[in-house]
Amino acid sequence: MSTEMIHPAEDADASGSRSRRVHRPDLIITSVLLLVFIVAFLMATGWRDLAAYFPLGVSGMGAIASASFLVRVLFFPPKPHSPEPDVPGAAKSVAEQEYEFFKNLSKRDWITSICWLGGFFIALVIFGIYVAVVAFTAGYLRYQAAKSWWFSWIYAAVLGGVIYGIFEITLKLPLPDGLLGLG
Amino acid sequence: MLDAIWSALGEAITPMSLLMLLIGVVIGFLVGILPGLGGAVTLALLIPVTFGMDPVPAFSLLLGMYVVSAIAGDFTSILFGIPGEPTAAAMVLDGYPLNKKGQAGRALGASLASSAIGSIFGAILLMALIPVMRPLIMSISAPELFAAAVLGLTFIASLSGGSIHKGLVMATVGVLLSLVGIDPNLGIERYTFGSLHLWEGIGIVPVVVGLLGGAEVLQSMLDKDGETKTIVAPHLGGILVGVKDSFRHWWLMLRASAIGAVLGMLPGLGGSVSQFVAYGHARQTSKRPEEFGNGSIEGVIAAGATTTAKDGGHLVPTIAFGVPSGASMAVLLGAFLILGLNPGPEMLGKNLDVTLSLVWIIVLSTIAAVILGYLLIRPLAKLTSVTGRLLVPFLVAMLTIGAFSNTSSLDDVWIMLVFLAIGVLCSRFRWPRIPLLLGLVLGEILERYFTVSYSLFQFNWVSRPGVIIVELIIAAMILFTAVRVARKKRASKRELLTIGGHV
Repeated sequence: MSTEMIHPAEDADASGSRSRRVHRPDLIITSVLLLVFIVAFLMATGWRDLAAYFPLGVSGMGAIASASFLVRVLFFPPKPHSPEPDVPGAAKSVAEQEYEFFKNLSKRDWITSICWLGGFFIALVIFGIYVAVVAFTAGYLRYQAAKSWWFSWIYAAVLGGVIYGIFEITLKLPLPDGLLGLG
Repeated sequence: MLDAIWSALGEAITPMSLLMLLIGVVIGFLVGILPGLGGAVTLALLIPVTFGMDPVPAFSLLLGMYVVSAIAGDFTSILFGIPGEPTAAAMVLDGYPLNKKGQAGRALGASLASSAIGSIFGAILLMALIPVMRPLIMSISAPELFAAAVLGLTFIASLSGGSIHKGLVMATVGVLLSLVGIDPNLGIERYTFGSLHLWEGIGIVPVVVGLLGGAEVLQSMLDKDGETKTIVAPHLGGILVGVKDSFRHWWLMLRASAIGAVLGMLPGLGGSVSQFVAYGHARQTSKRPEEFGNGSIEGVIAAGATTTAKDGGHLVPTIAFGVPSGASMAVLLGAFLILGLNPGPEMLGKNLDVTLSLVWIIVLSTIAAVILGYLLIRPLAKLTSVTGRLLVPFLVAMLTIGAFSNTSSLDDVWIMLVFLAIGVLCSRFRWPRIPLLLGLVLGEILERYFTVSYSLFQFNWVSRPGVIIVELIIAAMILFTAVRVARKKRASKRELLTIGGHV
């Protein structure tokens, strides 16, 4: 699915020349942020004096900044660059590499990672950090990293043990113990 | 004075003091490497250990740990892309890309060397300011602090990664997020939506960990063929290259140290602000600004020097007035009182030897940290050759514990997850993350000092001499950035014309 829309003003005379395109993600993100700033501003109008001045100023400025950017996105979208030469991966900027990495992920990739992370955090809430870390480590290494069960369980036990040793024994700091209090 | 300096050194190198210093350094390394476990928390945990101790050994333990945790925090930023300390966030920006290029050793070497110089610079500044500490601090009031925070905001342009407009919007989002919580003036709930946890506001730790570390963890999770991991095998022989790089950029190292130390002196403007200011300054003055964010050694040096230089600065108001410049110094202030020391004139007269010992402790713990760090660089840098997926369980655990440690609440883990999602969206759609972080850090400071300034002087404060100086610096910075942007645009137009592209 394309993330760009051809700008109507440019569509008509686009013959032969590079047409300007509205960058849809920028449009959506800026619209959401504009909405956030407007809501924040409206909420701040209900507060008294000193509590309201700064939030009013900040949300007002934010609304102006995002509205002006929205105008830019809608009516003055940048011209697409000339086709770029084939730049080797290592020569690209880090931001560019990150952008391309996430851009090239499939829906399945996103769902898989969300499921693994979601599973970990659900286990964290219910069983606490130790069960969550050990179960996640063993399962993830076995099924995602294709490691043997032996390796996965040993890694999981060592990681759980190191966390226990550092946080419970040495530093005596609390860690999430879950709804079942297994921490 | 010279006698007092040498006598203080004598106290700092007694066997007991050195033993405590060593213990502090080891704990500091561990604490610094683990994300989220800040120096303030560990200081609080260590204070009971110091009951009944003499002041100098006690501070050897406390200050030794504190100084080293900042240095070690940079290690995690470079190796895993997750800041070990909130004050190590700027190190991620260039340290981690250098690691990805197989130059982990170089980045770690540069970080260690610049941190060492920054620390010693801060200590010397502390010593030099002892005679003029009180009048100097008295001349700085809320308006100057507000102006300094605004100065910090002007670095958004350097941290926006190409789109200043997007950077401005994100910074404003950051400032807005800093307003979440109970209003400090009237006690009104602002943007808390009924959440008790949000009464305290949004902590910087879960935001830093989620925003910067989250995208990295997700990349490691989804990395099928190891492309995002070390492209080149880590070149450990580069440690000395990194050290040499630091000294080659000695002027930058000193400037960044000065920024860290001076901003460290100002209450509220902690290390998170000073590192971004120093980083932005390094980028603005660099001959190769395009390398910043992609593995610039100058970025590593600026961030490293500031990380430790701020510590000497932090101690200035703490010692001179008993005014802590941040959470860690507030805890340290508690240690002063527990050990029977009264911050203020006594520390500059009757207890001058203890004050000077603190300077030596900073220097000695830095030297110990450099030695320990040098010994640990090789085994630590080898971790970078581990494939991404093997690190995922470790990184996920670190993200979770790091966020949870902020207030020992799962709510901070959810906040971290929200910012993880924001960080990933920013990477996916090319929106800058760092301005948001800068806005969040500066927002609370801006509001606090603006309110105090307005209450004290209405708007007359804008013409105070100190404020005018900062205003001039801000104007010069904006002008400098505008000229630079215009030149860059002109150069790229010329380049397009040269290669026959359309303009």
